Order: sequence, then structure tokens, then C-alpha cells
Amino acid sequence: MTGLDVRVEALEMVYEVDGEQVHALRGVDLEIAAGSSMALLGPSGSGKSSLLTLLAGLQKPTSGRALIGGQDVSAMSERALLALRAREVGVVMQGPARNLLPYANAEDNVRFAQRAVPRDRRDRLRSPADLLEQLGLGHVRRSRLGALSGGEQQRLSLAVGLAGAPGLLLADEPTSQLDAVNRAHVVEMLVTAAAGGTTIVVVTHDEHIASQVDRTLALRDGEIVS
Amino acid sequence: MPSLTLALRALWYRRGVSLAVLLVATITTAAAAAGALYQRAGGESVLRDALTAAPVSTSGIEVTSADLPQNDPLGSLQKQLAKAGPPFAHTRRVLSLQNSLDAGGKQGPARTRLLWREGACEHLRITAGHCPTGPQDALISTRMMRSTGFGIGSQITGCPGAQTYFGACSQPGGSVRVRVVGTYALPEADPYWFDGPYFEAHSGNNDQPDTLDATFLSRDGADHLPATAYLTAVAQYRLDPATVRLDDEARLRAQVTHFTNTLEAGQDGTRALTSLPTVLDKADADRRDLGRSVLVVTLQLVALAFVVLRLVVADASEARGGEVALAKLRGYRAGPTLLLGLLEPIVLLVLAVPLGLLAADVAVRLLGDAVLAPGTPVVIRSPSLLAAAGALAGGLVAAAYAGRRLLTRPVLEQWRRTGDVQPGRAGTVIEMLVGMGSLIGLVALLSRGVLHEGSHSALPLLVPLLLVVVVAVLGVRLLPAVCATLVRRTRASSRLGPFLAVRTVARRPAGLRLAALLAVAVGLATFAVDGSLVAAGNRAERASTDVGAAKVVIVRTEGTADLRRLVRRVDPDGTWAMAAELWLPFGGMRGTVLAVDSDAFAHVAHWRDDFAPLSQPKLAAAIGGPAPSRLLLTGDAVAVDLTPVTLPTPTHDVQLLVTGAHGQQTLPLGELRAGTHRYAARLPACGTGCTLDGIVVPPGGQSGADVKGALRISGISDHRAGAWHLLPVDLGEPGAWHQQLVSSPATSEVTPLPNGLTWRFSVSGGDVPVLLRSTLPWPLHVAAGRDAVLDPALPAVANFDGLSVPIDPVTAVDVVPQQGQQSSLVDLDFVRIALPRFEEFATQQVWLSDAAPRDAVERLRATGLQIVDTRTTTAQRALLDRSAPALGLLLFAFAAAAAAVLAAGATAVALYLSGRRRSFELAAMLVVGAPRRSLLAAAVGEQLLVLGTALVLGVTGGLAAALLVLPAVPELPEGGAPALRYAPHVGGLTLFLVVLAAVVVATAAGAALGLLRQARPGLLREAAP
Repeated sequence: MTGLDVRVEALEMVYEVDGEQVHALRGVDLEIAAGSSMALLGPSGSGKSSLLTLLAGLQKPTSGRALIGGQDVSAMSERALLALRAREVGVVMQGPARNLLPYANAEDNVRFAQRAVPRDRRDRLRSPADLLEQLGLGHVRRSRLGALSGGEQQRLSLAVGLAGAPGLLLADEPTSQLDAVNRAHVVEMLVTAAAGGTTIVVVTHDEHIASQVDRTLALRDGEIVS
Repeated sequence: MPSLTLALRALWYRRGVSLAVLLVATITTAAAAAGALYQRAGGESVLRDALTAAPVSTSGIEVTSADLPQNDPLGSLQKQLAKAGPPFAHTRRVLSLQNSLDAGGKQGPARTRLLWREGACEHLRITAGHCPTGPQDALISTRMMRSTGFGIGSQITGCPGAQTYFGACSQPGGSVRVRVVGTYALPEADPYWFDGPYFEAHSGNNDQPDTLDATFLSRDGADHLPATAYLTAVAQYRLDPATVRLDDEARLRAQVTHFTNTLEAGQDGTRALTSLPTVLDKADADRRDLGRSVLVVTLQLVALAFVVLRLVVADASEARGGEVALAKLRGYRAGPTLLLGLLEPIVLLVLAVPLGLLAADVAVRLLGDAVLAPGTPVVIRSPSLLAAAGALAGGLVAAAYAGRRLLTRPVLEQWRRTGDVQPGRAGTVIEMLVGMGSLIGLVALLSRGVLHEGSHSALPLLVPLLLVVVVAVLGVRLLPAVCATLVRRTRASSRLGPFLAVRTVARRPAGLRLAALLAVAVGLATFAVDGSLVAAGNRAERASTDVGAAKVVIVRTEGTADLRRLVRRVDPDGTWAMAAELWLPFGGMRGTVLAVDSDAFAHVAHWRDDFAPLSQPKLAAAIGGPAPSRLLLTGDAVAVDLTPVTLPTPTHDVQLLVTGAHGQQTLPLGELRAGTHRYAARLPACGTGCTLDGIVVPPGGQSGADVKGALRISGISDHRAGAWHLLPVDLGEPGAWHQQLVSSPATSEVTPLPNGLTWRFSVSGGDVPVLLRSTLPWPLHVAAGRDAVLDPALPAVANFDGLSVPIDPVTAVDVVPQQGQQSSLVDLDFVRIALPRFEEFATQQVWLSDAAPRDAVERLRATGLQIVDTRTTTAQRALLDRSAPALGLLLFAFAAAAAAVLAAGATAVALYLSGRRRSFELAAMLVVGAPRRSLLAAAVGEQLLVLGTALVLGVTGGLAAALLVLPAVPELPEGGAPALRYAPHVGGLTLFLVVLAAVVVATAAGAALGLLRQARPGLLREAAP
């Protein structure tokens, strides 16, 4: 797996709420080397999730640029963004409900993610069963979502994010609401992915994750504070 | 690419919504397909009813040939028939040979129809002897046997054909002699007889002999009649209505035309008579009416269904927003993403096609079994398939529209949406356009005068939808404004629930479109409920009026039997059976006259308060009496005090008519003399009572002279116990005396005096002046139909024999049960007395009320009455229920029911899908400490505001539509009585409203409880970013 480097230049994000402007990000500059892992820390409302969604191309910045593997996602068309996410970027949103098909079993959820990957890359992917086995979810691969525990659903979300063997994994709070055992599992999965060459960007409050990544970055009121 | 398996799993996962979408799509498809199916089935039913209701001689064909070679007239006709071929498939042909025979009977000359009819004996009940087999054999009716004195073994000799000459036949050797070998009972109604006048015996008049029932011959007998008999060969083709389908109609017309043309072109004197084309034309016209109604109703339902389908499909697609967002997040391209979003609705829409067709088929079959003519075929044909395909295409368009929004919406926004579709600007514009369009359409229709009563157009059925759409669209727009006002008022209140409810509706009027839709559905349902009940009431009224009573039995009496007495034998009090005779006078009055047993009339006959100015009992009393008192004699002699005011010339005697134990007798009083004298005669055995019937002034000299004179009668005395006693009656009582009716010109005037009366008379042509004591109110009391009396200056009613009875139109009657307008009512007993032979041309009936015992008809039969036919209000109601206008209205009711189900489905889907968002809000409120009870009140209040507004608007619009439109909506076939009524059906509407309100309250409470159950604080952790 070849990781993608990430570069953010003077990124500004301004929302309008009830006629008032809210600055989610204020001129953020950032560089993440390919294959490295980084945790974004900060209190609620500091702009962590906004930065993540901008990197995922889910929204456009007010100004500035975000480059992934040298491509400016803030200037890309919707179609190009879809292709980028299908080929290169795995995204894990907060909460399993945003990441999984509720009526599909674990294996089908992985398969669903893999089907978005272009055909020329699809044969290099691990089978859903292998991937789930490797990530410690082999025993639930045929289980419906409702039969999985919260921790298993969270881990499955991460597995789905990694299903397309992305060069960049963006994960928002992957360990929230998890017990220590499951948290350890998730961290292990992230570490394994990073070891495989995937660039990892994690939004988290979890100090344990922060301790396991190459670099941490703290945000407050939309600015990098450390 | 998402797989079909995954889509099926998704369908099951969202089975509630899936079921609702499937239901709505199925109803939409069914609505579209059912219209075409119903129109076809209704058309079949209308055609079948038209053919069934038409008399057999009207729908069939009668071929007569009078100028055929007399050696084998039937063979000659058969050759022609073979050349023309059968006029229609499955036909039943009956051949006959017939002519009339003038012969002498017990009562003098009489005429019978000599008849050989193929298979006649299979349709007659032989009461004595056997069927004719030999050339001289004849079979006569028992009635003919009694009236003529002929019996088995009797020879009947007469002249055949129009050579009416008694004593000898005009053609030498033309006389016919047959021998009676058997007698038959008059048959009951049987299509075999082809409505032929074979059993219509009646008296003749001055020019014609009496008519007897038909005399049946064998085929040999007919063939052996002399050549001078000029037999008419007849072939009758009966149409079996059950075998005729709409598809056959064109072929049937062509075959009949070919048949009649071929026959009439082939031989002079051969005529083929049929009214089948007229019957078919009428059925065509009715079917076109039905077709227009079906089209108008179906288009409305399909339009409404499409709107609901679009909303539901949009809602269902919105429910998949999270998954579409997930697909975009994973990088799926537009095509697969769209497929993911739409595969479920598409699967459901495709699945709805066979289900919809099946539902349409089942619905129309059920409807057919319940309402349409028995045996009406229901077959899915290409129009239904095309309609279903159209519904599918409409559904796909709706899905595509919903898909476009799914594709273009950003991922994050997709997540933020949780199933609640806010009305966009485009939607609002469309809504307003629909409202304005409906308003313009409504004004245009009203200004074109489509609401003219009796317009017989289907366009009025469009007005309710337009009206309720206008009311709904404009009305719901006011709801947020009203709630905004209420926000200010409830804000200060300590009660949180109402404040939250009105605030939610005022600020986020997402349910408005739903409310408008519900209002339209409720409006249509209200109109349909009221319209159906009102129309059903009118049909019931029409059916009862058409028949006259719950059951009417057409009967025949033998000879001069008194029908009233026979009926009173089975129902002595006249509480459930009534004798009636229908008669078309030969002069004096326009329209029919219905003679009834007036004592039973109020108990048995159907009546409505607007039939006449008088109530039913008062009208019965007005025509029924009282009759003048009888002049009862119990002594041994009777005397009359007479003074000739003008002595009749030449000399005249005077006689009395007295009826005692031995019948009526004439008592001579001697010759009339000038001055006042007492004329007396001995009474024959009147100890138990005799009645004085009248005074006769026979000429004492030559007969045939005109007689003119005037007598004053000042007293009538009875001699008892050796003394004369004046009868204690007022001789001058109005109407107590009248001159006996004679057919020659005559005048009469009875003038009451303080102590008697003066009778001025004038007769001519040999008639004898007779002053009769009236045994009925004189002149005859009549409840006269509007314009029924032809000469108001000399109101009278005349019989076929020229007798004319003065009448007194004691009251007017607008509608006579069974006869409708242009008919009059008289008392049966009185008219029998006044015009003794009127019955010979009357249709005799027995009317039975609902209270009649089950075996009433059998009891009547047991009295000797012959049952010819039976009509019931129930059968007539069923016939009216499947007339073209009724079928159109019925479809409207079903469409409204379907619209209500659709709206309910849309409501269920909307409530379910909006539940998630609302549960988040409620969860947040719970977290900040809002009392659960207040939140429940708020949730219930919000639903009640939206659904209740829809209810109020819908009911208002529906009622307004009912009041405005119903008088113009065709409800019944044209013509007929009584006038239709359109007052709202209060009972039915109240029940409907109560049920509707209960459903709304239950829905609101259920939805609110469901929301509150879902509203857990844990939900907030899943809140949108």
C-alpha cells in the first residue's frame, strides 16, 4: 500500500448560522507525510471534524487549499472527488450508523465498500472474509448489524473504511463510546493499517490513540495550537 | 453496484414503508386499470340489463307472412327463413300458424284465435282432456269453457279470418268445425309466448264480438283448415340476453339487418319486426354516459393517486438518504448511487403492476357480483394493461424526480435530513398553481352551466375535486398564520404543550402538503358518502314508486270475479294486501287510472309526502267514500210519493227496482198521473231487508221514442205493522241519486228539495230513464293527476263501451305509486259499480306490503287467482343500482374510498419518516427537563392541528360540493317520479364524521406516543455533525 501525503494551505471554513458567521477553521496550514499517522485533538467545536470533512471532499472550504497526493480536493469536481474516495481515501464517520448499511451483514458491508473501488484495483483487495478475519471480526462476518455489539459495529466501520485499501484513511472519533478492550482493538487496527503504508488522520479525544500515532495536532477555535 | 439481494433485504428492513409504498403504488395501478375494467364490465351489465328488461318481443324478431301459398304456408316461410339464416346466435325459434275464428258462444258471437304453436302443450297446463293431435282437435281455456259453455266434446263452428258474419260464412265452404278435446289453464308469464295476445279475453263493443282466449289446434288441424282461412305463418326469434356480449353487438346489428332485409326483399307480405336496434341504441347511450363518468372519475383518482405516489416515493427515497450518502462517501458513481436510491421503489413499482391489475380485477369482480347484472363478465383487456403501464410510467417518473434530488444533494446535507421533506419553493409554486388551476376550472365549469339540474353530463363529477382542492390548498395556507397568532397567545400560558404544538406548526409547516392532500381525500370522501347515501335514498324511493309496493303480483281472475273480495279473503283487514286494477280510460281522462282498494291503500302502497296535497290516509278516504246510505225496506209494501212536474209523453208507467234475497226485482207501481199521488207496491219477502235501488219510468206505448220529463219525489214509505212509515233518510242528499248510464245521448238533472228531489230526464234511442239510488259517491271521486281531466267543465271518465261516468276530482295527485305522473286514483269498488266492464281492459294486480307473510303469493293462488308475474321493489332497486348513472356514482364512491386509503397511506409514511427527526427534538427537550406529559400534549396537539385542519377543510369542501353538485349529477335514468331529493344525509354524515374524527384522534395520539417512545436521550449522541 502506498500512502498519500496531505498538505493543507491557509484553509478557512466559515459557516453561517442564523445570519451569524461562525469560523470553523481559520487559516490552517498542515502537512502530513505519506504513510504517517496523525491524530487531531481538541475540544468539541474546535474544527476537527470540519477539517476531516474538508479533507474527505465532503464540503468545500471558504478559502485555502487541501491537497491529497498532490490533488487539490477543494477544487475538484464532485465526480473527481467520488473517484478519489473510491480509489484512494477511506472515510470513517462518527457512529456506526453513518458507515454501515443497516440491513446488510458484516461481509456485505465490506463488499459494498469494495464495489466502489475501480475494477483495475479491485482484484488486489483482500476478500471481505479475509479482511474481517484479519481485523478480528471473522466470527461475525455473517452476522446482521443488529446482532453486533457497539464495539463490533465500530470496528466493522473501521474495517469498511479500510476495505478499499486506501492510501489515506480519515477517521472521526473511531473509539468513542467503546470499552477498553474494543478501544484497543481499534487502535491495533489503525496501527496495522499505518504499518501497511496507509496515511492515517484520526479525529479523537482518545489519549491512547494519540500515544500510538506518529504525530498529534491540537485545534482550538479553528486554529492549530500545538 | 448494489445487488438485487441487498435491495430485497433493504425492502424487508424497511418493511413498513415498503408496504406503504407498495400499497400506494398498487392502488394507483389498480385505480388506472380498474377504470377501464369497470367501464367494460359496467357496459356489459348495462347492455345485459337493457336486453333483459326489454319485453321478449322487443328484443326478439317476429317474422309474419300473410300472403303465403295456403297449401303449405309454414313450409314456404321456413324456406325463406333458411335463406336468411338465423338472426343471432343461440336463438330460440318458435313457429306458429294462426288466424281468428268467429263462432257463437253462450253469450252470443265471439272471436277466438285459432292457433298451432310449436311446443305449445309443453307450456300449457292441461286441466282436462288432452292436447290436440287430430285434424279436428281443439284445446280451449277453462275461462273460455265457462264463458261460452263449450266443453270437452263440444263442436265449435265458425268462420275463419276477417269474414265476420254471424250465421253463415261469406266464403262458401269456408266454415271451420273443430271438436274440443281438452282445456288448459291460463299460463303464467313465460317468454315462450313472445308477449302474444293469446290470453286476453274481453267483451266486445257495439262493432266487435267478444274476444276469447286462443284455441289451440294440432299441426294437422292447422294444415287441414280450408284455404279460405288465410293462415298467417309466424316465426318468432327470441334473443337470449345472457349470450350477448359487447363484442357481439356490432355483429348482432349486422346480422339482424341482413336477416330483416333478406326476408323483406324475398317475398311480398313477409315482414320482420324487431325493436332490437332501438334497445341496443339505448344501451349504447347509457354506456357512453357511464364511459364519460368513468373517465372523469378515473382521471381524478389517478391524478390524486399520482400525487400521493410522488409524495410517498419521495419520502421512501428520502428514507434511503443515509445509504445514498454512504455510497457517495465510498465513492460510488452517479449511476450505482441512483440505483441504490431507487432500486427499492422501482422494485415496488414493478411489483405493483401485477398486484394492481389483480386488485383491479378482484375489486371489479366483487363490485360486479354485488351490483352488476348477474353473470357480467370481467376480463382484463388491453386498455387495462395500458392503464397499468401508464401508472408504472408515472411511478417511475415520480421516482426519477425523487432520484434527481438524491443525486444532487451534498452528502452532509443528506445526513442532516432525517426523512422530513420540507416543501421547497418549486413545490409551493406547484401547489399554488394547482389551487389556482382548480379555481379557474371550477369557475369555468360553473359558468358553462354544468350544474344545471338534469344535465346528464359527467362533468359535474369533476366539480367536487376542483372545489375541495381549492378549499384544501387555500385553507391549509392559512394554518401557519393562524398558528403564528396562537404562538403569541400560548407563549404566556403556563402550559407548555399547546405552545410547542402551535409553534412547531407555525415555524415548520412541513405537514401542510400532507394536510392539503388529506383534506382533498376527506372532501371527496364526504362528497362521496353524502352523494352515495342521497342517491341510494333516491334510488330506493324511485324503485318503491316504480313498483308501487314492496311486491306487486300481476294476476288474472276468472270471469267477473271480484278481485277485491278475493284479496280480502286472504287479508280481511287489508293491512298487507291490496287489490288494484290499472286501466287506461277510453275517454274523459288523460293517462292511466289506478283503481285501488282504498281501505288498504294507506297500509300497502308506497307513499311520500309530496305525492299529493293530502296525506295518504286522507287521500284514500277522499276517493273511498262515504257512499250514500242504503234505502232499507223491511215491511210488506213500499210507496213513493210522486209528482210529475213534466209528464212524460206518451204515457209512462213507473216501477221500482228492489233487491232482496232473490236478487233484483222490478215492482210495477202503475201509470204516471198528473198531480201528487202515492204509488205503492207489495214487497216480496223483505222481512230480513231489501234495498230500493231505483225508480224506472218505462214507456207505456211504443218503444224507441225519445223520452223527456220531470218528476218530483217527496217521500218513500215502508208499510210495517199496518202503517206507512217514511224512510228516515234525506232524499235530497247530494250525490245520492243518479240516472242510469246509457250509451245513447241522454241528459239528467237531480235537484235536491227540502223534502225530496226533482229529477229531470231525457233519453233517446229506445233507452229507458232509470233513477238509481247511488251506492257510491256520485259523481265518482277521483284523485286526479295534473291535467288528467280533459274537460274541466264536464269532468267524466269513459269506458270502451261508450259509457261515461261523471267524476268529481276531489283532490289532486302529483305522483301515483307505480304510475308516476299523469295518472289518477279511484276506488276499485266504486269504479266497478260505476263502469262494470272496465275490468276487461284493466291489468289486475295485488299489491303486497313488507308485512305480507312469506306465503302471501301462495295464499292468493289458493283463492283461484292466476299469478301472471311478480315485481318487487328489491329487484327494481337492484336494476336501478346498476343503471349507468348509479354505476358512475358508485365508481366515484370507490374512488373516494381509494383516495382516503391513499391519503391514509401517505400519512402513515410521512408520520413514520418524520418520526426520527421529531424524536430527536423531543429527546433534546426531555434532556433539558421538559415534562413528558407536556411533550406528549405538544406532539398530540401538533398532529391534531394538521390532521384536524385537513378534516375540517375536507368536510367543509365536501359538504359544499354535495350541496352544489348533487342536483346536477345524474343519479337515475331519465324521467320517472318522484322528484329527487338532495338534502344532506344527516345520519350517515354524522356517523362518517364521528368515525373520521375518531381515526384522526387515534392517529394523532398513536403517532405522538410513538414519537415519545422513541425519544430517548441516547439518540442525541447520534445527532448530526
